[in-house]
Amino acid sequence: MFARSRFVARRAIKFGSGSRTLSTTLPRRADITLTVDGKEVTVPQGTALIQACEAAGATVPRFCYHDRLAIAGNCRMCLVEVERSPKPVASCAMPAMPGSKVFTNTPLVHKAREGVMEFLLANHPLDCAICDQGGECDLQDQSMRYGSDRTRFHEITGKRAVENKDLGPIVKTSMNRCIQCTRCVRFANDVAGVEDLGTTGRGNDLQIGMYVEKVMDSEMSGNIIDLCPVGALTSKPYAFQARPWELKKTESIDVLDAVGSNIRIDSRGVQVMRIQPKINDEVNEEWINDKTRYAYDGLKYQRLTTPLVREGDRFVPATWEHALETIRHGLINSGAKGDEIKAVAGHLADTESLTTLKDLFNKLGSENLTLDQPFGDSPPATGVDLRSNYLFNTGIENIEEADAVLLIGTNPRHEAAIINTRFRKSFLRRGANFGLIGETFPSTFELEHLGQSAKDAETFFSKPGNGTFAKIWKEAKKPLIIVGSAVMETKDGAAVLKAVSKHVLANQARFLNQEWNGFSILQRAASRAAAYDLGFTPSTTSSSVKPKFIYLLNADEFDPTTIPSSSFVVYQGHHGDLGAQYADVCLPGSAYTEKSTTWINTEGRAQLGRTAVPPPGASREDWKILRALSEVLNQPLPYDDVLALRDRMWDISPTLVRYDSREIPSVELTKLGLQVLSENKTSQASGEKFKKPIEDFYRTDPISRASVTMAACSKAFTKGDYVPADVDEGATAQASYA
Amino acid sequence: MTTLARSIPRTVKEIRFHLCQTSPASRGVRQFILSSYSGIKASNPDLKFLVREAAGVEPKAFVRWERGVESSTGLSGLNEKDVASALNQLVNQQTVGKA
Amino acid sequence: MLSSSSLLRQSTSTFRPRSLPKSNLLRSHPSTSNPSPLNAISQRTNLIRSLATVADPPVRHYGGLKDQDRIFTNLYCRHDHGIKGARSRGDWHKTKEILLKGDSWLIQQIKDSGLRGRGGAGFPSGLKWSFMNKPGWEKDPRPRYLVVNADEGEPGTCKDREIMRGDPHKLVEGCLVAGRAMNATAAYIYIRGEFYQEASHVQQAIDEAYKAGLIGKNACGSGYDFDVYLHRGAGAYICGEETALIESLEGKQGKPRLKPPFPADVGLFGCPSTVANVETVAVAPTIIRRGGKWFAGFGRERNQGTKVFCVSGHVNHPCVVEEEMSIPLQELLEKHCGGIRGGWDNLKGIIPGGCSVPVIPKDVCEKVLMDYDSLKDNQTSLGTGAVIVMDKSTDMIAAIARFSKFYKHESCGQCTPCREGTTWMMNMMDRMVEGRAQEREIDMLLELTKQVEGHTICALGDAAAWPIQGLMRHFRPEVEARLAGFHAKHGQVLYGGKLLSDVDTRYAIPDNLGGDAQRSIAAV
Repeated sequence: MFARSRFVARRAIKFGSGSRTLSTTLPRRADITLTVDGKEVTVPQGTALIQACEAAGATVPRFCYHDRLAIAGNCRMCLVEVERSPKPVASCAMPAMPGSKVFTNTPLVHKAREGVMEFLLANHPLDCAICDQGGECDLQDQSMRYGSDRTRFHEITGKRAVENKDLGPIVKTSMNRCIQCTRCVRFANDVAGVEDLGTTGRGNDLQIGMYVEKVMDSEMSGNIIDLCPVGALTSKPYAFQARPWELKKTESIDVLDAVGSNIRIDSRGVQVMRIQPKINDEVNEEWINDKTRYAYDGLKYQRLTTPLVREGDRFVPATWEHALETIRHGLINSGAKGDEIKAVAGHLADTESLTTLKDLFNKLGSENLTLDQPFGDSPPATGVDLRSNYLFNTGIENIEEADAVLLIGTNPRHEAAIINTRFRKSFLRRGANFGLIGETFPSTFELEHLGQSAKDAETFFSKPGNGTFAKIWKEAKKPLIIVGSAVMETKDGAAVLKAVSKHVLANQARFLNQEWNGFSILQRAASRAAAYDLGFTPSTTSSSVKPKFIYLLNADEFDPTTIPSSSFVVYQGHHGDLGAQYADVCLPGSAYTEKSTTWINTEGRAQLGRTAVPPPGASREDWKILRALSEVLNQPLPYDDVLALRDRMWDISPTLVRYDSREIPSVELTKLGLQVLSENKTSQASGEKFKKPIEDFYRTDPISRASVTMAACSKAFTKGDYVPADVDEGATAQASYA
Repeated sequence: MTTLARSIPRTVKEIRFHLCQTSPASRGVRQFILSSYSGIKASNPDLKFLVREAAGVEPKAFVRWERGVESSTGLSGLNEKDVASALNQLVNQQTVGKA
Repeated sequence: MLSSSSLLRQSTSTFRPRSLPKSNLLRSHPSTSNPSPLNAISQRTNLIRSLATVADPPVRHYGGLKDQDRIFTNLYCRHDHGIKGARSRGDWHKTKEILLKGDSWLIQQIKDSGLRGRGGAGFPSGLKWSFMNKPGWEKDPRPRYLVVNADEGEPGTCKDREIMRGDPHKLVEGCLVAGRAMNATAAYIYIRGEFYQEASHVQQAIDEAYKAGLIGKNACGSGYDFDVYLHRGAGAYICGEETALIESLEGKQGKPRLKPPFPADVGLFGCPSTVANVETVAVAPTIIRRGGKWFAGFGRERNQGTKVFCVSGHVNHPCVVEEEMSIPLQELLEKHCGGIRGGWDNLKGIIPGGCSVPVIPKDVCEKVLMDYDSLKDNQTSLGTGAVIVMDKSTDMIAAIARFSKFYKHESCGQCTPCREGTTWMMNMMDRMVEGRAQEREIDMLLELTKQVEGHTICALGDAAAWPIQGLMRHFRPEVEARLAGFHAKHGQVLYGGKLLSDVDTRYAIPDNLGGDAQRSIAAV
């Protein structure tokens, strides 16, 4: 019922003369004026009264209202007094009317709030001491502020008791505490797309649950823990670990997928205790997926803490000097020259270390900078020259405007779960239509399966046929094509891009204009967009060279057969995963929570992660390791601190350090990029079916593979092997794992 | 343009352009890129030709040589022909160092 | 049936009659010299200036509806309820001409008749039906629905079932006429699931009407298409609330919606709809046929027409009877129900409109008229017209406690005050039946009812609060005596029902448990 005001703001431009922004402001609805507590406030028409009160500066307590969910109006805590109304009005349900006078501080309102609070606390158990929500509980805060000081509920019949439900290894439920606000039900239905949570029973016996014994199989299930205003839904891995006032909160960026969700790392001492989402309307709104949220315990296991040098078949701890000297000797002894010196960058490599590595290797004379994906040894099919060819040009928040979306070779639910929620939103609110060419996946919206291979993609564009989706596609005003990164990792990548770009160019008017860009590539690794922006890709001649010296920078997804046994391998990373096994020297770097580095998300938006905890043992920040290495290899790099390094990054591409804003490629250059793609000399597409790149959502990178929580999730959700613990048995069912 | 395309020495590994999406000072650079990109890439397939747009930046061209040496030149306000000649000068200069 | 928020006003203020200037009428009234009980009632009625009085009203006696003025002629199902019997009693007569009169004429007739919703809220029907025909309604492409509320969940009410069992064709014709007035495309009759025979009769009437071409395509040959569907409910009182009914019809859980948006904008399946009671809809064709002015001739100003009252409880002949509005309550009981058993003086209290409305004691019953305004002035309400009579053998507290139990059972659980409040109030009332409560808990219970009333999504919260308020307003001494009796036998009771004698005297008793009255018990 309420409408978000949907204009896009651009921050002040840091350098150069002010110039007109590219995005146009969307038309706003008519504004209305009303009076709240004597203060006049103007809001767009259609906003709820509660938002108008907030805009006027009056805080209105609430439990069930949430601006990103549908309106329920059932907690009755937001009652305010409106002139000429005999009874108080639920401000979340009432649309703001022009000229109305609203009072939020009258005795009537106070009595109403006290009354509702009294009723909520009547059946609420006295669990504060053992409840994880203590210290950040809406019920505690609002009862302190708006409730009465003592209870009147002393009935000998006692308080209501409700059974706990087992929702899986992530969400711990104590349904006694539930106040039936239905936020979790609305979230599961509208955002997560899992229509399993609901209410059963009537009156006081109303229970929230699954109705059958079932786990909440959604990659966004952790968000209901944030949403629950009381301690009914809490985090199982985090259960009984810490209190919110003990935690240091650091704002940072998530790197376990390419969305770049904004997170807040809560740490205590040197340990990361939990990860919470941070609001960013343009990227992740207020949600993060379960892997982002719970993989942090992998930061404690399998860490590389000291430099390791291989002696025979085992690793021996070494000092930094010894390790770096060993590398120098290794480089000289391998006799590697020019392109025989190869770098492989992994998913979790940060932009600063990629820049340093590139500069170092260019100084050593090598252009052989590769990525650890299939076909990563050759230049990518999208090319790196024109940004629009490898970025999510539409912008994550603009997805909601699309009326027809074609997904090619991607599973957005696993590759970018946040983007998937946007799809679900546009499916529910605007009736957007979806078509998929690739391997099917259980989607949270209706989609038409149009084919499985690159050949099917070509056929769809040349002879779409008369299917429902095809007809809608022809008439769509804002069509959107999303090509998954996995497509470029097959031999059909270029062919698919050719077909797509030809189609986009043929329908330019609809796909590419000042307000809309309907051609997007969906990356799934946090470092790819940065690597492409830097030009961290091999030349065509490099791939034919047999490498003699290989530098693995956080690379753990490569194909081991690409490493010749005679080569000298250095692994720089934070976990002992695949890369470390093949290394001759392991250099311990920092994980994403331990360094302040830049991350470029799939839209090309630069965001700054921040250090929350110090790196363990003798680990160092990655770019500093490479700077030290450059000194040892006698090719010193010209920067000594991170600001000088960022100046260098600016010189490579200003987009790398334009934090928090998205530099949108211009329409003409986008067209040039598409032309390049459409003219590439490639063979016909084969009929080989696209395969989902992610088999197990919960184990995609070294951090999540080392995590116990992720292992439990993988067992429960991917393999479907979850035995609900007998919740009455207590400890094992309800406590955290580690 | 074709002369430029063919005259880029093998030691040039990468050419980078910074330009603004909308400002008039970058118009020349933009037109240059639109017209010569395919020619240059066709003649020099191993050359990286990076185009990086950011709002409000001063248009510049960077050239990266072997061994990581780089030079650059400003292209603000130049028209297409001047951009071509500036780039020509940049790639063919023997002196090293930033302009 | 649930009443709307407009009835709230009556519960909080106590009504004080203003002193009246002497009127000539009293002196010249023929019956002043020989006051008979019935005339005395009319006199006393005129003495109190209330919402519906007009200066110097013509003296008129209400009640005594003649058979030729009765609308429902088969209320007792003695005659054929099928189409033949219905036609013989005047149904479906000139319906085509009625339909051809057009929506504005029909609405105007209903407005002139002064018909108010018979489902309990008493909202003027002409006005309510006209909301469907807002300017610009033709441009709306959505279908429009009339929803008939035949859920009849209000305890004590049995009028709709009599109408549907005996005169189902009146209902079907009413759907058609009311639908035409609202420009509706179809009518959905939501009938209570427990009404098996009534549902069969209504379905039979629908089928007969379809067969005779009276509804469906080209209803009655007027060119107007209209469908009628019957849907059986599944046994929830809350589904009698209009938005919960719509939700239930749509197949969801019967939980009331928030208003705004109102059903006339977004109703059944998101389309403009109006929910009307069975009686309201069923009287519509007769009103149109006999004229709105005829209907307005019964009852007082602003409370016009006839009503089907259902009298139950401690009367000699409980019955369902159609009578003129504004009939004195005493006359209704004595004329049609054979009077209170054991005589009028054996009366303790009456609930005049189904269990949602507060109870009134004997002295109020003697002066009150059975219409909306008179009852509102006396701090109760007409509701559905279900009169529940209780004589002196009734344990009033147990009766109200049973109502509280009903509301706790029927609360849907959506909003906090109703969900928690009804349970709490039920627990407290159960203890008061026993007497196991502290004296100050009476006022606490009243405060709780105030906290529930007006703060809920639908009116079930108000309906749960009012009986208790009525009990305390008129029968408080009885409650206090019950508590005192329990205390005398078992000792002091703390808040919540724990006996002071059960408390471990080794520990201090907190102040907020009501034990302070006998702190010195520690010395015992």
